[in-house]
Amino acid sequence: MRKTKYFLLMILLIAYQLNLQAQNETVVTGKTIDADTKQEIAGVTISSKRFETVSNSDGTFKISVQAGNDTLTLTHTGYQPNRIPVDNNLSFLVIELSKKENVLGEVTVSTGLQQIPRERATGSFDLIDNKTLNFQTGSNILDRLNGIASGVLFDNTKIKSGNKKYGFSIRGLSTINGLQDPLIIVDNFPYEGDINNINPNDIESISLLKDAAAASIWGTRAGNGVIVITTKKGRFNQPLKIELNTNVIVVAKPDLYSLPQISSTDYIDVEQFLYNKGAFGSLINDPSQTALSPALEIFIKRAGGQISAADSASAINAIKSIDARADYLKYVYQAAVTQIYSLNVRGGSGNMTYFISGGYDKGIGHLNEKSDRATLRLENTYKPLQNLQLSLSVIYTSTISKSGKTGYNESGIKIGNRFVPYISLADKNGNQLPVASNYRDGYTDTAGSGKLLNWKYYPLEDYKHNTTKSNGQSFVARFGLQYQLIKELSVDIKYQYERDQLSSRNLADIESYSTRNMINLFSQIDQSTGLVSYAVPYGSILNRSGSLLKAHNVRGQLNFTKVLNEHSINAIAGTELRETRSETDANTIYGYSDDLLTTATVDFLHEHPTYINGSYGFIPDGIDLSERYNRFVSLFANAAYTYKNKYTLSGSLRRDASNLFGVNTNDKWKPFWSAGIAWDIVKEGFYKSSLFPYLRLRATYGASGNVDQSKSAVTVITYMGTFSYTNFPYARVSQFSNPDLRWEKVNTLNFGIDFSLKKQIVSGSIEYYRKNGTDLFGPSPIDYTAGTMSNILTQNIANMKSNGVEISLQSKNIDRAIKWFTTLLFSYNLSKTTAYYAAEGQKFRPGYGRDISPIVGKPLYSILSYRWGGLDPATGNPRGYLNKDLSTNYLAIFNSITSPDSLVYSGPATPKYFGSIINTVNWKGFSITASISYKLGYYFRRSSIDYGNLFSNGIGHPDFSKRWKQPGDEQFTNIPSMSYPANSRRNQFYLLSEATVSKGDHVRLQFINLAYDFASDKKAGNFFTSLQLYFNASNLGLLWKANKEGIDPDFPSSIPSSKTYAVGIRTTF
Amino acid sequence: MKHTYKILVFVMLVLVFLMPSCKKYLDKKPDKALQVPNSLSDLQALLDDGYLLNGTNGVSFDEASADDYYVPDDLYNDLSVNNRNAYLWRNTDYTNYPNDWGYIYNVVNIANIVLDNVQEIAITALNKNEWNNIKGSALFHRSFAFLQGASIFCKAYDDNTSAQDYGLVLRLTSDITLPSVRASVKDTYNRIIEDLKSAVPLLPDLPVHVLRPSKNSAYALLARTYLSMRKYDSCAKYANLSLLIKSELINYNAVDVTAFVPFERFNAEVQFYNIINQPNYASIDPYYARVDSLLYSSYASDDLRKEAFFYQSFPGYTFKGSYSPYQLFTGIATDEVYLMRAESYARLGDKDAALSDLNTLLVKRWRTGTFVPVAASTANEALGIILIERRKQLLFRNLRWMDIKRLNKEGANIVLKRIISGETYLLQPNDNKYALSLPADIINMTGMQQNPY
Repeated sequence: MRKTKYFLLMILLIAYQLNLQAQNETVVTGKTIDADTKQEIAGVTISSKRFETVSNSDGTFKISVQAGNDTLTLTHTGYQPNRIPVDNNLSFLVIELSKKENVLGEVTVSTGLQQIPRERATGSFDLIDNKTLNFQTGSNILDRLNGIASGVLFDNTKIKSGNKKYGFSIRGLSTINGLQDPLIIVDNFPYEGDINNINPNDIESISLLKDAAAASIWGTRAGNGVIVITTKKGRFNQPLKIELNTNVIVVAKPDLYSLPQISSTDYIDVEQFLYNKGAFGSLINDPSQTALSPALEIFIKRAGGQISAADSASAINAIKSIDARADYLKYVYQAAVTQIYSLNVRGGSGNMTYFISGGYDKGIGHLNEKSDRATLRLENTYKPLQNLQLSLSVIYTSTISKSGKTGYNESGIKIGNRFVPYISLADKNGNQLPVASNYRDGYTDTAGSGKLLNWKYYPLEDYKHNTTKSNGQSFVARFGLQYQLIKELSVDIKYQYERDQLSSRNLADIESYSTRNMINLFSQIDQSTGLVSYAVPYGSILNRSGSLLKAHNVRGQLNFTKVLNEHSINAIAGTELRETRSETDANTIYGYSDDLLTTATVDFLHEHPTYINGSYGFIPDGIDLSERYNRFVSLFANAAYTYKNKYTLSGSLRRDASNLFGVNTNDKWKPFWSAGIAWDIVKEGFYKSSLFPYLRLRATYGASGNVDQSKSAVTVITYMGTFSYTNFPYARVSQFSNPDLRWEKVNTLNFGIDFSLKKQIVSGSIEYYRKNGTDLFGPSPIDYTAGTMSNILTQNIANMKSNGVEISLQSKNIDRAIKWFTTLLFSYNLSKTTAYYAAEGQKFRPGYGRDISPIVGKPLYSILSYRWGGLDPATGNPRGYLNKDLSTNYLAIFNSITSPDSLVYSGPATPKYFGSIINTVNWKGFSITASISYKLGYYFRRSSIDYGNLFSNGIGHPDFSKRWKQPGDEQFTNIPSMSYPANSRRNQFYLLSEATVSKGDHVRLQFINLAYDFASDKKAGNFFTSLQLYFNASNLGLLWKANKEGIDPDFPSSIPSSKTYAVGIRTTF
Repeated sequence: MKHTYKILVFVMLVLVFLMPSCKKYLDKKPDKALQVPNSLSDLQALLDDGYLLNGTNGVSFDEASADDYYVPDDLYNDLSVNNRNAYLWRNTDYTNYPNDWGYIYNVVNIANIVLDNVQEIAITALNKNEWNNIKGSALFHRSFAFLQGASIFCKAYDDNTSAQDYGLVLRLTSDITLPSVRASVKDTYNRIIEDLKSAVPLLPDLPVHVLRPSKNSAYALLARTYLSMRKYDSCAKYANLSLLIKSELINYNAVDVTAFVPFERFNAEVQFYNIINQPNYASIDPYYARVDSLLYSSYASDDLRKEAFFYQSFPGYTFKGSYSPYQLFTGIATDEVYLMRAESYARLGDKDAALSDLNTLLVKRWRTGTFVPVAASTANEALGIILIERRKQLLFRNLRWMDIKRLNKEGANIVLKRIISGETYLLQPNDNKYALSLPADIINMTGMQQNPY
């Protein structure tokens, strides 16, 4: 890396020499603004006799002139050209340009590496401006994209994980292995930290880079699209501007009743049935005293003659009326409230700009969990020399959170090994009740005859004694240097340091159940002396964990701009190094006193006998250490050539390398390229249409690839720690050498039309794209005789073709005193499997549409099912087809499916059509905006009753009550009869049959936004530039759904997002 | 303009020169815990993964098919379809992974990775012991897995037919792309014996920890292999060699036999520790499994094992006598080695030596002062007693299935019987079903021969 230093030094030396030669020239600075709006204009071409430049995003420019003997010519596609003679007075020039008629306002999009005037962009960019971002409220900036960005699909059904943190995709997934999130760029660098650390009030705009040409400049991680977040900044020569925003967001209690839960009556009837069958025999006599449900305890007492038949019946009837969710809603959940305050100050003089913002969010969640966030942001730009611009920014975020109560588990309350839906948390007077979650009540009543700690669990009280506090600090510092070497060439050097630290502290004090349980479990009572010995010392248990992320980014970039007559070239080339280092550590402290900071020593080395059944166990030390490094090196170049401002050709090239382990160095480097073309048809002489005063065509093509982490040329092992019995370090194979794996390749073709009708009554763009994926990764069955620890291995399993259309239209329906605007977003996306490499002898199974569909010609993600033959009229058994005959031989049915075509195809598992319609009506200061979103043309699989799960885990489903009970029922139900013992194949057949498929189509009221601007009429002497009062309601529920079962397809078996209301004030002065 | 091009050329050149130094930058490991197994300590660490090599493999198809236990009707209903089929020897298609086949070959592959890599490391005076121990241990683990596999998936060894009978897939390298082909039963056993014989000189007499293999356990495993092949002279020879190194027995009088967990982990009899942590076939879990009632009643009241091994459950009796608290012990213990030697001596006609071994063991199993040494008039009578005591001592050790197979070859005529809801199911001696089925997906994918049933 020392070479970089020499390189920079050389560049500076050369630059200095060039400067000397240019001595007879003088530099003028200035700014280009719109004659009407006084807004700065970026992208104006300014030429002097010898030089030429383009104005920056803030409208400023600097250019060398021959003093007293020169003229500046300013040209811009959206504006009338202007010529300004340069005299000897070289003060800061403010040059006004008048708009050409019927032309869209000049917009530049940021790729994070450069600003591209929209009219020269060949690729697919979406720009979401500040106003649109403010339609929605909330602390997470990315969630605000829901319903306002075209091609962006939010998917709540998928579980968020390390690979998929944000829960949405742009133009569908390009890979199912590896990272599935779009790449997030904040200003100029990829953002590694927690997205919640970004204060949305600091954000100016967001650009979405969707096609290969737009995204490929970001290389490897751009396969899922790129989101460029641009923060607010001060501008040169900008008067002081203060922005204040405060709001309160209230989120209603979650709708627990939308969970598919079996009724308590049905559940207890099943318990009775199983009890009579003797299914709980071993559990009842279990020496581990595993907890049993209240109903089972009653049956046992009745069987032992401890209670009368009448008492037993009335006790059972009493608990049948209990639904645990009622107590949870009454005693546990509350409406969540977040208060947000944000203030920023910005401005600038001739040679410096500043931006200072502070934000404070305070939230209390549904479970009384608390979170605080404070953000501070300082940004400065300084021009010490005409050719030199330095920028420095510092962002500091501090978060504090404290855990709350324990929420409702989606399956019920766990009692022993089973989930039970009818537990009470408090009696009818509101006094809290203990819940026997681990051990039977009868046992914990008397265990240790008073010598042990209380062994009861009180859910309503416990959270006070078992709390987790987390403290996060995030610090980002950026330094930038831009130097204009010569007229055509500038060098940019940017550096960013990011440090995110999070420390968590879980204190379970001596009154908490987990600590009491731990101490009791490892206690021994000497039978003769009655003395208790503790292996886990008396006192609190403290679990501490910390994580630290440090990221360094450095980028050197050359920017080249040259305009020669009708030719104009814009090019950048650069190199980037990135390192992220993350460390975690955790440990557990026993016998802890939070007041005195005393601790006790514990024997982690030996096994200790446990109290209940005498089995042995280790006391967990909770130690966890890890240290990870990710390093990336990239080279990139991007050039655009424009001829006569009509034709633009663009190309980009990037190579990325990372420190993937176990991969040959040659495989570490991946090339990405793209090419594009744009044609401003309006500027052709033959174009006469007055209907479309603005019409532009563009096309791009690009290639990218994906290498799987498990593509390993060698066997890689991971050290797992110390083996508890031996104290020897031990390791496990984490990657088997899999030399057969090839790269996943995706080629993307994109066509776009940007247009505007006269007076911009309707404007918008239409995009068509095609993705061609080959050798897609997917799980494929393997011969595990090879000892691969799994029966599936990532292999190249399929090719796909994807077609998509995105339409984005803005219309001015009424543009008078009352204004009515409509934005229509429409996306169509359908990916098809074009080849599938099945393993030999593979049996095909239906699923939930999350894996690549094996049927060639059908959507890549499809809902496939076993063919449904109705219920057997005599038994209520689900029936399928075996060689065209009705059959209940499920195993034979499964085994007969040796070709994927034998499965029934319902339709795609992802929406074929989706988008939203946003209407805004303005009248005087009032403004109302409503967004309706839709997802159409897809199917999903409902959850239903799984008798195996019901019998062994207590997880039921409301479908249970609609099951087949007697002959004739098959006329109106598809839900199989209860069969005991559980037949897993029968359950599996039903759950994956056509009978559980529903249409997913739905229309949702996304949000309503109401605002009043007090300062809109701009009366003289108004102190505020603007003062806006707003109200927002979101997650308002479905307007229409295709399925008759009343299921929200976005949340088929989970709690839907709760209704959210916000009210606030936004003001500028 | 000239300068512009010069600068561009210069920048290009610099970028080109930067490339090689990037290689070093990119060679940084992404995770400190990651490693390519290329040192002896890495290979030893792979072998020290006790979860995989001594524990979690829930291999239990054989025990679940054997007759030390039964499952009461109502608990039978709670078993999975696969488990019910296994319990009644209805060895229909099954594919559910993880299964015994996969677990056994996971162990084989770890051993193969170690064996492939250890060859790449030069032996020096300094690392010789470590190198030997690693290679010997890997050979031992592979043999242990192969023997387990042979007991489950192959017919009993028979000198007359084993060259034709279907054996295991003998995977001897870690190349996962190699096709799977079944060897013969004869080749399978020959491989086990050859590997164990080459492991013996490499291993230490006694292990640093019983999770690691050693000479005594390798000899014992050889004895077990020969026993299952019914080659009693070799069995006696290696059992003897094992006992020469380690012969300690626990005196059950010193054990709290009333405790729910009477035996400690790594007790004095354990030579090589191996357990079933989570059985693939839950029916052998104490939750379901009840001890065969005839077997239970065969223990005399002064026999401490009656109390130490069982507790009353509802219905019947449940086993608690494992040499590993709360999991079934399936490793090698000294009691088994005594019983192997005793049986071999008896079969070779040495009645006194056989009874001496049996009495050495039993005196430590009976209440002090109550034990009357076993006497027999013939070696054959002694053999009968030894076989009964073998069953009483070694129940739930994954040995019974192997014993039934080989004893039926000796003409013991053991007929297995299950009764479910009043219906009786029988398994006749030397039935084809004694070679349990391979997973159906493996058969489909590889085209290997399924065991006939």
